[in-house]
Amino acid sequence: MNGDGTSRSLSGAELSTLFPFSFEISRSLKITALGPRWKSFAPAIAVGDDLFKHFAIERPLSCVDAVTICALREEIFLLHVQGKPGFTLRGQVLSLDGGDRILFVGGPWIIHVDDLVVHALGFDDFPPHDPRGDLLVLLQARETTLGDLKLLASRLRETAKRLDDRNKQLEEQIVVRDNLEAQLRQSQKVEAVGRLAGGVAHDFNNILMAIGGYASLASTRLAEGDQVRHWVDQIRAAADRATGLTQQLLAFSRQKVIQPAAIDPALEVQTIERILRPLIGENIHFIVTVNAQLGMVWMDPSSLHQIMMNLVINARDAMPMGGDLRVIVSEAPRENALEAISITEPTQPDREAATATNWITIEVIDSGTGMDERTKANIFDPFFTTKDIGKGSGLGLSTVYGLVQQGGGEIEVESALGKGSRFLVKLPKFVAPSAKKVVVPVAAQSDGERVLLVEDEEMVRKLVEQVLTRAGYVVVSTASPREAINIVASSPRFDLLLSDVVMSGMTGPDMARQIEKLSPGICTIFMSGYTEDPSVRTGRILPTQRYLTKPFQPDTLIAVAGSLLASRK
Amino acid sequence: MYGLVNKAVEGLVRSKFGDDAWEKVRVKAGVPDEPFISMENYDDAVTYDLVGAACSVLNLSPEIVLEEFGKYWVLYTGEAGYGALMQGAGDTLPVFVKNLDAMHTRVKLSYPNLQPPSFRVTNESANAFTLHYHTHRAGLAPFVVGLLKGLASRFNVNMEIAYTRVEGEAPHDSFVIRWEPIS
Repeated sequence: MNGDGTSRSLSGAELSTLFPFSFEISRSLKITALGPRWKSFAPAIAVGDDLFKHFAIERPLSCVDAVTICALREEIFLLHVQGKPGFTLRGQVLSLDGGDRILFVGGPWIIHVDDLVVHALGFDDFPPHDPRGDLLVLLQARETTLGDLKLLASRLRETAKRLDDRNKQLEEQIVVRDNLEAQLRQSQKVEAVGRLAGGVAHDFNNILMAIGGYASLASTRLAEGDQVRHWVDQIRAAADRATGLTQQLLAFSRQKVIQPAAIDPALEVQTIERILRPLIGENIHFIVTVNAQLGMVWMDPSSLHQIMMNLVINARDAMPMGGDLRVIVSEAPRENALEAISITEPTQPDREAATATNWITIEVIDSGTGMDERTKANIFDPFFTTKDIGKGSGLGLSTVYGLVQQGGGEIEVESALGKGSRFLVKLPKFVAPSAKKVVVPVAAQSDGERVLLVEDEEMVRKLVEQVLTRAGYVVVSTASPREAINIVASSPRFDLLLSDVVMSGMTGPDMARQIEKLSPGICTIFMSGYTEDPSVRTGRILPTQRYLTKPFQPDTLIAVAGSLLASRK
Repeated sequence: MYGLVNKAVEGLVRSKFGDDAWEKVRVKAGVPDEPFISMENYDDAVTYDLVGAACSVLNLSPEIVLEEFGKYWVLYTGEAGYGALMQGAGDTLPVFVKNLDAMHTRVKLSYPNLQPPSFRVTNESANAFTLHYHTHRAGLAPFVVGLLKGLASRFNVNMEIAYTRVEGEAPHDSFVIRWEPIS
């Protein structure tokens, strides 16, 4: 419509500019005119050709004649061009001159921006009025956005992987930290209970020392067959049993004074086997397998006996209906020999240091009830027991744990409910040039040597004083370490210092070091059942020193004193 | 400017000077270590900061950096998924240049905040034309020189460029282009 209200038709040139891909057909479906783009785009199409020679109508369906085509002139037409695979025209038809002429107006239908290249099209093929030109840009935007999304997804995957890796590292670190914390808690528990147990045992040892010692002295004054002597001996026996209990408390708390030596674990296990076998019961198949030529371990033999005793009795109790109980002693390589410990036998300073590169292992395997995870996690806790009240102290495995650690070893446990248990004790192998000869001390009378006795427990001090005096020693006694130093400073001629270890104000070893400076050559015997001094606890003392574990018998004291003084001469 | 431009700056530095150089440029410009989003509109300052940091880190003048960027832009857009559109814009140098305005106008459909420059061609003859470059951004004539050199490479022609700054009511940059196909 013109501005003056009149209307006019578009000229052929104008139509060609607006629709370069237009074409016209007759009622007989012959091509009568072509838009300007066809000449270069599809030169084979010529005026006069049949419509369906060059075009296929995809939509609307059933367009096979001019009448139908004209009737559908308001529909969207999709046409394919023969010889141009993938190329589609989109547009509509106009019926001119009452249907004698049919004009197709439209253009390329682009669904992917690459179609531009595939069909050699350009922006000029999309006149400004044609929104399909804009579609190209939107399609391009879609491609660009997809590219960005792929890049972002890739970065996201990389970041997620890094986070995942870091998360795994953190989880591993948390597990390690949890394990360390659990070990620390276990260690703190054992240490706290150990301090309590050690303190109680110390006091009990002094009392037991007095009971047992005085009972021994009384016994020697009574004739054999005397009823009173029998009663006194019963007192001594009761004191000995109580002593065993305090020893277990001290071992558990790792404060027992040990007297380690190079021992053959095979021999020790075979020895303890003879003691254990009667206790096992006939319904349990008890097999002990010891590999010969294992070598030695550095340990107090009583500690090894106690370890074996506790593990085997526990295994027995786990098989009330019988089963198999196996003890296997063998050797295994140590995982990290560089961290292996060195031990020097203290009573033989010239002895070569030995390095443990292998474990001596003792396995105790039963086919009993086994343990659940909760029980397994707590078995080494002090006072933890699964036994009925009165049947277990809860100290057995705690004691084993303490003794193994004290021996520089490790203990592992595998167990599952209904599948039995396996305890693996690993002790560092001790490589020694020769076995030590054991000298059994013999009680001997004194030649009047002077003894300085330092003991802050009065009943023990008086007992020991009597024992020594009766054996011919000249005894000067005091309850104070400082007074003892003063005594030696004013009169240094003493042959033997006999001292407690744990005393108020100063420890026995500290005092001894000062006295040995004032009186060179003086021999020293420490007597204690409990000490926090590591050098004494591990038996690392000088050749002129000995150690007596409280409580001890009077004869033992006289024998050790005599032996030590004799070695000085 | 859109992220596409910043991505091109990144691509230029990485391809010509390496990833380490880009990291230095990025840090100096204070740009976070994350991919640019092509269709996200960034403050023009980001692009200027990147170009300024590139000049400092690479020890190059702004003119050289902008010219290199112009050359790279033709290459980058041709390779970064815009090849079809570039091809659709024309298969000869003058046709392509004459279609730039139309292409930018269409591109505004997907980049609605785009403030594209305008390229007008006058005095066209067989192997020469004058290109008038209008923009509200200052100092980008070296960038257009780079663009023209990039197009010369794309269409395999030799090119001479004579630059003039036109002042007046419609100040703009004018480039007299003489070209001939490389035989």
